[in-house]
Amino acid sequence: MSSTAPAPRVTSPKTSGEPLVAVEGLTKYFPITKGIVLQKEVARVHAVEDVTFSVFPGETLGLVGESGCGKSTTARLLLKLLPATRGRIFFEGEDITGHSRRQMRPLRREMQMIFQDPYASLNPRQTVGQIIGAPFRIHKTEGEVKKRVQELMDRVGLNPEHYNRYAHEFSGGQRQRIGVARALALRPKLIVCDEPVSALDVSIQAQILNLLEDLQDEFKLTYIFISHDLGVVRHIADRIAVMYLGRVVEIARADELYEDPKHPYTSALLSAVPKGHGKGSVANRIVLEGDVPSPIDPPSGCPFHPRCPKARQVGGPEDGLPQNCVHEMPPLGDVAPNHVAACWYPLKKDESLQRAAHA
Amino acid sequence: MFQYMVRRLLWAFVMIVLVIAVVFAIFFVLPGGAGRREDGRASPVAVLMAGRNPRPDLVADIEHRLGLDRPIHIQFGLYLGRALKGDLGYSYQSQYDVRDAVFRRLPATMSLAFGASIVWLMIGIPLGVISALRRRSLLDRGSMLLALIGVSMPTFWLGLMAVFFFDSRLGVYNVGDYAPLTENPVQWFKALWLPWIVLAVVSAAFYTRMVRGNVLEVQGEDYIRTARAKGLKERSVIRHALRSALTPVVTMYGLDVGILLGGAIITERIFAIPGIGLLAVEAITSSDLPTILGVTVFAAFFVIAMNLLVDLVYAALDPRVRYS
Amino acid sequence: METLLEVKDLHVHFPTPDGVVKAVDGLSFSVRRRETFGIVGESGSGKSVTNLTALGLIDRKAARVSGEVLFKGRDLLSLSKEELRRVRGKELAMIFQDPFACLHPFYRVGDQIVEAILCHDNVSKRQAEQRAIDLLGAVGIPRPQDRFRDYPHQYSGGMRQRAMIAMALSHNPDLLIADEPTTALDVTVQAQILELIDRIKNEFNVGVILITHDLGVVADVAQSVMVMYAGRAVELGTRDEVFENPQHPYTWGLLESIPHIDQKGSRLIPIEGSPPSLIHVPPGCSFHPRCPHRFEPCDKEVPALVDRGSGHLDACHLSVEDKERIWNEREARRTKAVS
Repeated sequence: MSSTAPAPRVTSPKTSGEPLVAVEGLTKYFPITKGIVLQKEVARVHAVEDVTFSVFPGETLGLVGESGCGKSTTARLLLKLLPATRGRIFFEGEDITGHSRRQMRPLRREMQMIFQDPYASLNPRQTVGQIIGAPFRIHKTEGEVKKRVQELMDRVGLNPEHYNRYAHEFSGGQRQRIGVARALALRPKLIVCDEPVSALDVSIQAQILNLLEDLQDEFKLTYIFISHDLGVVRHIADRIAVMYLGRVVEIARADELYEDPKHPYTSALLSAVPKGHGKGSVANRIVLEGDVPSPIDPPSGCPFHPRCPKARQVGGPEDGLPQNCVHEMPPLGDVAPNHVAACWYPLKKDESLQRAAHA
Repeated sequence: MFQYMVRRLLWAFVMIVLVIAVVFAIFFVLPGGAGRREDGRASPVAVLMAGRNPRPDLVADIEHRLGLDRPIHIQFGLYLGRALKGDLGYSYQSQYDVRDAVFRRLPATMSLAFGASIVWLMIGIPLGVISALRRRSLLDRGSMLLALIGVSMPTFWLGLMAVFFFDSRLGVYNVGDYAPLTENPVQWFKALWLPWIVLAVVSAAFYTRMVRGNVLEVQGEDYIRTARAKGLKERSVIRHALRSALTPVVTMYGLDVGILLGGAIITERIFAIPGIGLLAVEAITSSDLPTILGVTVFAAFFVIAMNLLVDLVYAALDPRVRYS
Repeated sequence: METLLEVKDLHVHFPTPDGVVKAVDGLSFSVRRRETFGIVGESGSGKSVTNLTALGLIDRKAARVSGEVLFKGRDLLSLSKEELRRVRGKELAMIFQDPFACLHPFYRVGDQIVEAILCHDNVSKRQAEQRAIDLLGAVGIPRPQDRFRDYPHQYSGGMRQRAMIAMALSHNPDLLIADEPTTALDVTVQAQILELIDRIKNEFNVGVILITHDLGVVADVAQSVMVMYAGRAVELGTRDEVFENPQHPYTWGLLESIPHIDQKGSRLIPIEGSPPSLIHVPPGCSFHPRCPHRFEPCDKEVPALVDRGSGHLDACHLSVEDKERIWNEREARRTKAVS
């Protein structure tokens, strides 16, 4: 592998130029050990497997998938909150994979995270002022912390006079605003939003999403937006990467992904979302049976092959499935301009899938 | 599951060896212990044992017999080897085999420990459960107040007060009249009923609070709501709740009893129960080193063994533990 | 279709040291057999409390309950605890949001279903076990005779919810209340569970109350919809009526603030402010502080739930003509923002 960042496959509709962040071949295994005295690794949780993508400055990359697909783990690997098993991470063109903690310190100002649970992610023993002010103190910035904290509070829609209140005195939406203010404090370049609105009431979700969008414009932020809510992601993301069982299966620009999905899983995922206009029964929407398999023992070849309606439709010698689906992992291939998918039989536009039985 | 058990057993074994090593180090290696002085002077224990006229050659002879003239690691090795076989040494002072002495005293300690634990379970669990089910009632507030008082009373004070009251004042109790269960059950009971209560008070208070807290917490759990939604009789719902709430009590119980089996020193002393605790006190006052060592190792063994037992029982009760 | 459940002017108030929490404040609706009745509301709207009260799962010592809840003609609120217990699980069943927390972790799944069967039916244990296995199969769990012996933590999220549904069906209830049954599940599993509930509705001939905060879910599976806010119903009607012709500013707000999967990225129009405290419910219309169309009577009179014709009810002081005008304006503004 070269020491430069991988060339991006799907460019952004919003900006051009070099990617801000890129990952190549990112892999994370969690060992499962057994053994009486000496713990031997008997199996691994394949949390993230060979993930490659880029994020351009100023855009929002959506990372979608269901539980266990590895999206949250990927985000933590990218921010180097977890050590990767394999793969490389690039920030502003520089390979930071091997950076020590000391080397990472100045970079941490540039990359921040907003968490899902506004109740668990704030220290209940600290005041709002302390929580938002912590980044300033940690990085020993100059200037009056309190004033800057209050400016931030105002900017995210909180009353600056509540500086000395504790987290539990705020509502869920307000607490999430506190999280946003904290992430924003040092004017990072990148903010990873890990399901930031999933735990909020519907009427508050829109407020927070609008806030995030406004802040992105004002502070020229780059977002990686993780969510399982496809409606929310369509709204906020410029490009989207779909993950399944630790792998990226499709990357495309937002509109194109929703209008012309190429990977059967993406199509199935989209069809499962309640559309909200009540036409058509639920049964017609379902394309997938069963649950997502365990990442401890992922299927051979393409991890989606046991449930894939397209593979079943194509047919083949391996128990009714094509040979390559069962034995070879398809690479992320170009299926259209600025659109990649990891599939041997990518879908054509408007191709509909029949409901597949659980293998 | 099997792997879990085997692993726990091995760890228990390692712990015991470690405990023996630490105890050995404290008593023999550290300055002030029984070993030879650094400046070459003889071991104080040997000197003591030599009696009135500690002639150097007599002291040296005793040291040799005690094995104190050998290098430290050999001494440890010998002690460890013997201890693991169950031989805890010989007390020259009191002229008995330490292990025999401990075993002779064990029944009394066990009577005290198990008896008291039954008392505190019989008080603590029902009181805790009822307090939780009838929260904020008079019973609840009353029992919590009692629990607070109970938890605050030091055992030695309570024991002395009890003796003062029931022995001196009321005369319904007599200190020092212990008889083993096998010899004289009535006397056995007459000697133990008061120390049982004294020992149980603090734990009963503690368990009442803990059980109450557990039951309250479990009552709010979703699966209890499901049980009611199914239409189960309230009795069954409570059974579901207790199953969850009392499982942690098992853990606590095992640990508490394990500690007591090592000798409830204060209680035994106050009530003159001839148990391991009292043995320890006697050994300490007379600087009987082998006995002190033996009792310590024994107590540690019990704690470790009970710990192990508790873990196994917990795995039997909570299926989630088994499969992890 | 016969009416299974009729709620009339239900009030559930909880006195607390800080004031009275008016969790449900004058609610009326009805549910028919073979109908999916969707109750939509955010946290604090009272949607869960309503159904818990119907089932008698609210502590009557802690709450002041008034009104009627007629189930097959009998007022559940007037039944004794024992009579209610016999109805629960047998004629009226409920499943909850988090299937992981809803099954007792120490007992096997099969045993928990058997227990549900045995508590209302005097059959032998063996018969009950067989029935439990059949039920597990009926809800789509593969190899039910093996999964019967597993513990809850060995099931996946979707399977646990299926097991909960199986348990709820053990006595062929007339009415099934599903409280946020899919909120904790993945979207593909959610679709499967919704389809299962739909299928059961027809196969087992039950009425279903589906409680959710997700308008999309309701739009897909419900025939009737009731929108709740701060303990009251603000809109009630058929699904088509409520979604195509919404009559309440809160409903408008909800519809506009939710990003749709089919919509291109337009600016979301959130509802300002936050849901009110149920202790200090705003006077008059409880939504008025957040309503951009409030006028004279809104902070003084509580708007009644009025039928504007065709069984579509709403609780708003605005006249029908005004509402139509405003709704068209909002629609225009939204489509403009998109293009």
